[in-house]
Amino acid sequence: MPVVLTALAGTTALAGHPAHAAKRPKPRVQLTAGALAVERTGSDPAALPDDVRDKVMAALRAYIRAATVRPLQKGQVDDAAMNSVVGPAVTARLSGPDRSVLVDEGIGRATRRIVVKGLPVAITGLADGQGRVVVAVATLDTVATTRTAKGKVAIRRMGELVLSPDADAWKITGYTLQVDRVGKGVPTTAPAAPPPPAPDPGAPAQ
Amino acid sequence: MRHPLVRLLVAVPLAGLLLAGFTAAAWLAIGAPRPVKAATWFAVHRVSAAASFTSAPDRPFFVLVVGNDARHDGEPGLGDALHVIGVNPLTGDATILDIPRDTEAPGGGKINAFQATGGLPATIAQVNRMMGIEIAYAITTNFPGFVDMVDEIGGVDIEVTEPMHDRDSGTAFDPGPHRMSGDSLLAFSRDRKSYPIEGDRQRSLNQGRAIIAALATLRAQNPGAAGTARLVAILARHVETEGLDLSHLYDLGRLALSLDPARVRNVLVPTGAGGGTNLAVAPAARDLFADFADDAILQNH
Repeated sequence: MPVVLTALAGTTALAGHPAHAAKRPKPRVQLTAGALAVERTGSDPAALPDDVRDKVMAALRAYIRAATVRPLQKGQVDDAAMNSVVGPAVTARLSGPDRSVLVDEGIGRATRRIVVKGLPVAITGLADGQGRVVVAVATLDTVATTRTAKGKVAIRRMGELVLSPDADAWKITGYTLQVDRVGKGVPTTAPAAPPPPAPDPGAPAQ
Repeated sequence: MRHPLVRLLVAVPLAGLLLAGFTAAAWLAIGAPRPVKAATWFAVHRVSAAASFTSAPDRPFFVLVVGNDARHDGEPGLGDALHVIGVNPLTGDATILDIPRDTEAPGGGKINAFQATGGLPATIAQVNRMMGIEIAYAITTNFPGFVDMVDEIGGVDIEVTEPMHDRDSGTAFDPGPHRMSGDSLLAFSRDRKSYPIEGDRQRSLNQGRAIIAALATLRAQNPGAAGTARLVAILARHVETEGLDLSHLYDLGRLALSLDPARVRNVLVPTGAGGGTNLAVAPAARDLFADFADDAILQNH
């Protein structure tokens, strides 16, 4: 009997040990660029530049990690990570009713590998008279699957994202998105959004 | 009496059937659980949500749209089609105020002449003074730009409400629905002789109708965010702008395509006789402009 109790105690302790959590397989995000197009107002560029394609894809992957993968890993959204992939106007929307469409929270922690697969991303750029791409529109159709303590979960997110250059990166500045969440324990009501950030006293008066 | 094991084997399925029956009866009696409102104990849930957002002004703003009569790029043209579009993004309403080309400008002379002498900045200044507003953005196009633009978007569907047959402008339209090419819509927008009494005033109103018809036509194509990029590129190739770069133009294009044409009002600026062939802004216009200036919506007109 003491042997059994000791074994049980050891198992229980092991279950709560960080090393156990670290054994979960790394998330897998599979997202590739698909059809590329550019709408020109001048004569250039002939095609969507590679660097624009790469930066837009990097922004989309960062968005999926921040909006879906991290919340499923940690149980909550990392707002700092989200804010780094969206523009200021979208950051403000994250405090409103769109939050439940933009991020996946309240689902619980994943107990199995998180896999996100997407259809090839079509990217359309809008180029100004000097040939600079100033706006990009990316299609998004992804399905994230994993398992939480309550059971299997699948999240499909589809629509279009509008992105604009911001310094050396591209950020999401607009969206038309639909999200479907299926599975046991999927929250049936939108989680409460965090309070809006306090006004910046240094900002110019509107 | 049968063997207890046999009785057990019979009883268990029977009990299961009874339980299933009660459950089905309860289901029918109280209705199926609705996952959206129910607790999470029952079943697999499916929850859907959607949202759309465009980075655009979050307060009322005004856009000046000028059709100039230049036949070639680079030529100065008279601002013969003058329209101020007020948009209230908070309510989804918009108002077009149509200014007849012969209207006297606050700075003297006909307002259409300012486009030829000072371009968009000069016209903006006159309209701002006239209406007591601050125009944020302006665009202008000439005859070939207008025609190419309409052709490249595939034409515009518009309802002609009375016969329009005028050799000078090129109209030959019977009442009814028309899909107009660039040349046809230009003729429709220029025709004043089909209206012996109202002439230029009715022409200005028709130009406002053409703007709303173009909006309705483009919305019907449901272009989405990527399709909007195509439309904005077409627009940008054929217009000159003031206060707008291409990314702003894209944002405004997205906002415009979100507007319900039924919520866009088209109103002629009231005018009366002025000096010579000029039209004077009627006293009644002051109230109209004040009503327009505060939120781009005409509550009292």
